[in-house]
Amino acid sequence: MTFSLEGTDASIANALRRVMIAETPTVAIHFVRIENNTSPLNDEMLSHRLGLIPIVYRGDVRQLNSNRDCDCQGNCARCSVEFELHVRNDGEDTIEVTSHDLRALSDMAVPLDDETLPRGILICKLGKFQEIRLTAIATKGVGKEHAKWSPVSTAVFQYEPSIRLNYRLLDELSPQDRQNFVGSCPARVFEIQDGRVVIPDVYRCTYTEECMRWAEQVGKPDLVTVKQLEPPRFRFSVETTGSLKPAEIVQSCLITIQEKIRKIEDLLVTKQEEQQLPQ
Amino acid sequence: MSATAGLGTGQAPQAAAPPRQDPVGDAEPQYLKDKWKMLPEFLKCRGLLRNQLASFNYFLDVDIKKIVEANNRVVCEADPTFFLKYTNIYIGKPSVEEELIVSEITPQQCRLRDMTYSAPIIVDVEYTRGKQIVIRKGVPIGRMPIMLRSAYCVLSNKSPEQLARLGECPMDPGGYFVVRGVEKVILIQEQLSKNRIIIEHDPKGGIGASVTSSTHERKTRTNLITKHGKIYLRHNTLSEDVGVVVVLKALGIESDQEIVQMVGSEPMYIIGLSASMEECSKLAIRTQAQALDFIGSKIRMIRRGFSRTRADEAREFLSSVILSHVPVYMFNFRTKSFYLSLMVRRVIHAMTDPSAVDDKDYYGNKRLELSGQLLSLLFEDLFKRFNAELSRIADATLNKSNRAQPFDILKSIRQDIMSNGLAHAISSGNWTLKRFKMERAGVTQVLAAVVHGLPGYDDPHHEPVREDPQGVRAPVLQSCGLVKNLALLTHVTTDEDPAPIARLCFNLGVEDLLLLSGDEFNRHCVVFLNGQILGIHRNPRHFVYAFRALRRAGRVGEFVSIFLNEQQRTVTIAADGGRVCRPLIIVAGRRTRLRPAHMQELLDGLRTFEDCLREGLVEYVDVNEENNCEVALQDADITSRTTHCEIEPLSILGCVAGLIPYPHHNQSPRNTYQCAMGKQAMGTIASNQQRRIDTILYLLVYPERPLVKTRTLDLVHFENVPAGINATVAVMSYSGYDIEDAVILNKASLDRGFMRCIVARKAQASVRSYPNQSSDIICSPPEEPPPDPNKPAPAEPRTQRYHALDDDGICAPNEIINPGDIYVNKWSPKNTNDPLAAATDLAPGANMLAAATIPSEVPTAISEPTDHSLTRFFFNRCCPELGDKFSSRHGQKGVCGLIVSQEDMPFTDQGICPDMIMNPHGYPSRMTVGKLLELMGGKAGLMEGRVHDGTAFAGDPVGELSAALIAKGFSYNGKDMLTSGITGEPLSAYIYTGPIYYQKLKHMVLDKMHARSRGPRAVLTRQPTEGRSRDGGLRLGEMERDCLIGYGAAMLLNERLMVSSDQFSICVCGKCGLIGYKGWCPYCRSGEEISTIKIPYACKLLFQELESMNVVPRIRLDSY
Repeated sequence: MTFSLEGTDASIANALRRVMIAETPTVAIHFVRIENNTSPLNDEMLSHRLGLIPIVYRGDVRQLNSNRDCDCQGNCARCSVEFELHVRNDGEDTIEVTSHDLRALSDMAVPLDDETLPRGILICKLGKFQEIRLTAIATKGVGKEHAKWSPVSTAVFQYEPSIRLNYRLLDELSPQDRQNFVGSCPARVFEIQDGRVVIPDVYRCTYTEECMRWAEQVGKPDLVTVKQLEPPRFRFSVETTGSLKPAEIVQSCLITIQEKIRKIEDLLVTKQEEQQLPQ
Repeated sequence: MSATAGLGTGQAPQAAAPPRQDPVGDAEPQYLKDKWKMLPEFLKCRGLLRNQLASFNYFLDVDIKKIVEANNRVVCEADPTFFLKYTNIYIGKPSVEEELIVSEITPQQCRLRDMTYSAPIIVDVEYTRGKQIVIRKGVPIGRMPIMLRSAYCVLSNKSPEQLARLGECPMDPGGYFVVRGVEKVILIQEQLSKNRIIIEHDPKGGIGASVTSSTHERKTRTNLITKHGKIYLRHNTLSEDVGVVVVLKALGIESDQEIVQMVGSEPMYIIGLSASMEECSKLAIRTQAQALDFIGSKIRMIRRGFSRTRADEAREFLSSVILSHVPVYMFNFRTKSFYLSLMVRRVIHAMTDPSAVDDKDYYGNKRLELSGQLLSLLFEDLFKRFNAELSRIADATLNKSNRAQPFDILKSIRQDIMSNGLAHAISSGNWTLKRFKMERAGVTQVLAAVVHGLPGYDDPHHEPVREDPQGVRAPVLQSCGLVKNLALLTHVTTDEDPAPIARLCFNLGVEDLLLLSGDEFNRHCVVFLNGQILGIHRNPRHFVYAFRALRRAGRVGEFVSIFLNEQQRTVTIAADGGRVCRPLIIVAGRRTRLRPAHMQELLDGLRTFEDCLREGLVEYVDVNEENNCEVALQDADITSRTTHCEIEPLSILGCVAGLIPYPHHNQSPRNTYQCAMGKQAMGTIASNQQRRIDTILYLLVYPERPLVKTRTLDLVHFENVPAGINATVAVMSYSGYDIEDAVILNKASLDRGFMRCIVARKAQASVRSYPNQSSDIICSPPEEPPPDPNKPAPAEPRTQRYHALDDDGICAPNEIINPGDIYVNKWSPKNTNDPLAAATDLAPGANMLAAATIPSEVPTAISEPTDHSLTRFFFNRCCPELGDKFSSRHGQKGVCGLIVSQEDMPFTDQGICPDMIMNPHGYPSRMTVGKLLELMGGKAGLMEGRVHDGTAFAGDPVGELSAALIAKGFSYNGKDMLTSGITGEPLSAYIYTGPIYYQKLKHMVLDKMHARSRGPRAVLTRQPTEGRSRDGGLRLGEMERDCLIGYGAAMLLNERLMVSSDQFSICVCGKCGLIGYKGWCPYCRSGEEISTIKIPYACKLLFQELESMNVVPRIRLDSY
């Protein structure tokens, strides 16, 4: 998902990005009870791989209790989701154990099922007569604690560049030179349409400054200028691991920020009250 | 064969190379492309460790038989009719004998069960038993450790599937031994050639010649030295140096004229010899008899037994001690006198021309001893000892007059002399040969487990060929820790039978030495074969040409080298073992004989490397013969003088250096560092790594194949057993925790499995039985005692230390082990000698593994209990942490300085967040441009979805990489715009970002960190123990002490050196100054002037030790 952010500065944009990466709660496998593992992978490796599988929680993740703070002993439906994995290879050929084999014991959550991954996420391969039998408990957490809870694979913003072309100078160029000018940019920011140099998408620009260098070489340093837009405008791109939808991530991230602000606000209010009391 | 046709015409060699008609017949000159594709073909037929394997096979096939043939008779003095004769010797199949059952064995079984992978040495014998002669076949006399993948190994000629079934890694090239469960490699030893004349400077600066003669019977060293312009023969058994002219006279050259003719009748030699001649005539030695008598008087060693005349003594000395490798038949010293006069000639020549002094470091004068040769030395020694033992037993038994039954020598054969001797030498690395008084330590090394999978890596072969561009070499010192590695294509020769070669030489016109006069000898070119003078040849160029032609035609062994030294006027033919040689493409008529069509056939599998060798397209050239060659690097460089063309420049490197991408762009020491560091990298050991139990095993959890590879990588199957991860690296400074080569790691990457590793350790406990029928027992863990109602309940159960144990008293699989936990509940008998002591009186085992403080988390028991020992394997997983060591493939190591969470890391517009941040200060002083190129290649490869090539002297050029980057929308120089993750602002510089293959080195903080406040002390001195393994204290050393003294911090010093170490209170008598006790001085018999002082315990100990030696230390007390 991409969206753009305007009317603010880098601090807000970066806060959004940071919260999306590190403080958006999701569900991921955190405890694994291995009953039998004769696979080539060690128990720890297997658990680590299970932990990294994105889990899609059907309810609102934010409503889920944190396992640590939950008042239950061990785990309960309010703070966790249980999964089961039992695969045994009785055939001759090696089989693959994937996230599809991971069976949720409640219907609140499922492992990521995406059409781009028809076979699921590979966990392990099993040879003849090898077996994995385990139960796994997924809990809520944030990316700050472990990257497996981070819902985004990329959450990034880009400063919108402001590319100013001097059309007067451009027109002075021969068509061949114009072509060369367009070709000077590795990111292919410029295109020629009907003999005119146009910029189809400013965000293609990666600030390589190749175009400016080219202009300087041909002795027309004013031909083009690449700067950051002032005041800045950001284009966000958010790509998820699959555990949440991009929009949900942004929404959740905004709520987190709001909560944080509210917390500061509350603290400020109490502080103010404290100061006002003796008077 | 047109080569032999050229021989028939008898043309001069230069003229005899007309532009040849190509056998394939392509008309226009075509350059040979992709010559490197020959490398895999070469390795296919020879394998990476061909040298080791070939030498071992040669030893068991040929050498062992020769040794036995040379010592095939055992006789004894007691009974002259007694004899034992070996008629044959051979090696059986690798097997093991357990409780009289012989079963075949595989190397993997030996590794797991701590056994020696060996095969029986079997002989056929003929011997006398009483009055009859008995012929017996198949008598085992010992066991020979078998080299893995040699012809005698069960693994030879097995398909990968079969190997896997035997528990073996198909990529493992073998070449090592499994002795007592440990994998041992015999290192190649480098030695000066035997049986060659070496002209050298003696310590006093004079010129000398030395020959180390070596035959199966004898090893001697003969020296010629110069003193005051005179030449002397020096030898250990001579009490005094003997003038060389006297020796020549003793050898039967009586006339002075003949001596001069033999040495050389040019004025230079006459002058050089005149002083020696004069001395001889002063001694009034004119005849052979006089000379022999003179030499006899100088021989130091007086032989025991029957006495001989001095002349006989001298004759014996000259024939078998001096230059013992030159054969003497019936005391005909002709050959030997020629040899000696040639030595004299060389010495005189070198006196006037310093360039004639030989270079001892020159590889043509070196021979490499491989495992086969080393083992054969050992075997010979042991076999002689074995025979001597048999003879001794026969003597002892046959001397007794009344025997109930005829003496059967076979019954007294003890196999363990041979078996233990061989196994012990390999496992300890001490090569002790009684006969040659040779004692060498460190001949073998443990095959380092870390990079097991990279064949030949940890096998420190000595690198002889060409890998020394600067010509800098370690001086001939004692072992300096410098390990040389063999280049990729090196072949080390094995011995070849010289007799047919000698015959061939005579057919080619060599004139026999015995038919020549001294004058003729010096006028023409001398032909040597394996260091012995064969004769002379009047047209050496032609001879050499013809000889080579025959070799190319396959009439002479391919490894026989012939070398014409125009300066010395000699032709040297070498067919001995231990020479290093390498294959080169033959060039004739300005073009390579190997044509593109041949290459095509090679690639199509219609032709092998051997075929090329047989057809004379390629040949082996040794270091000496290389001097006669003009080798072109590429096809394009061929000129009319070119004789050979290199197969591939990258073959200058060995396996280890071959892994470095773009090594030709790096400063050379960096490549050297990488060669040492590559061996410490964690990765995949071998495909059987899950089934191995090594003492310590480091495995990387998610190893990757490198994005920038080299051709060597394919040859060593690196991609199947990789040792590293492609890390996205940003070259920038960040946070200040990256100074001094530290790197910064991304926490999210670590969470996702970046550079995680598994460390597995072995723990062993032995269960022994003792002479008094008692034995160790393993019992179930103690039960928790019932809680004492009077005492508060302990925080944890008392049997906490036993928690990991199963009911059988051995730790169970999948238990979590903490420091101090007990792995095996073993009890040993207190008394192991007295048979009457109760076998049940047991004490907790001394080597109960409880003392181990291995912070293992979960042991997985893959147990393999051998007869007397229990083995458990403990796993420990490590995520990278602060202080762990990483290295790229360019000798750039660094520790982790900080772990930063992902949101704080800088990121690119595409959202790429680096795994690792490296400080740019690492580059300028190190000049590792190869690393920069690797990054570009990796980045370009990533975008294109291919792997770029960084082979030495080849590899994808920067232009290509830049173009690929531009095509994918990146800057040509590999830099990107990064945004700070902390502020969200763009960084003010473009950052060089991309993937670099990083290795995790086995030095980890977890294994090294150590601190102590209180802890164990040494018993004797009561000072804190030393070292991490003993939970030792941190030493305030001498230099630190000096600092504190300089600073004047006396109280601090006192505290550090005494109070916190071994402070002890003693009572000292003020009157006598001796140490008393309990306020009483036993010397003065009073307690009046006793004071208590505090001194280090070590000091008190010293005083007491002095007292025990009758030295009285008195302490004089002063009151303050």
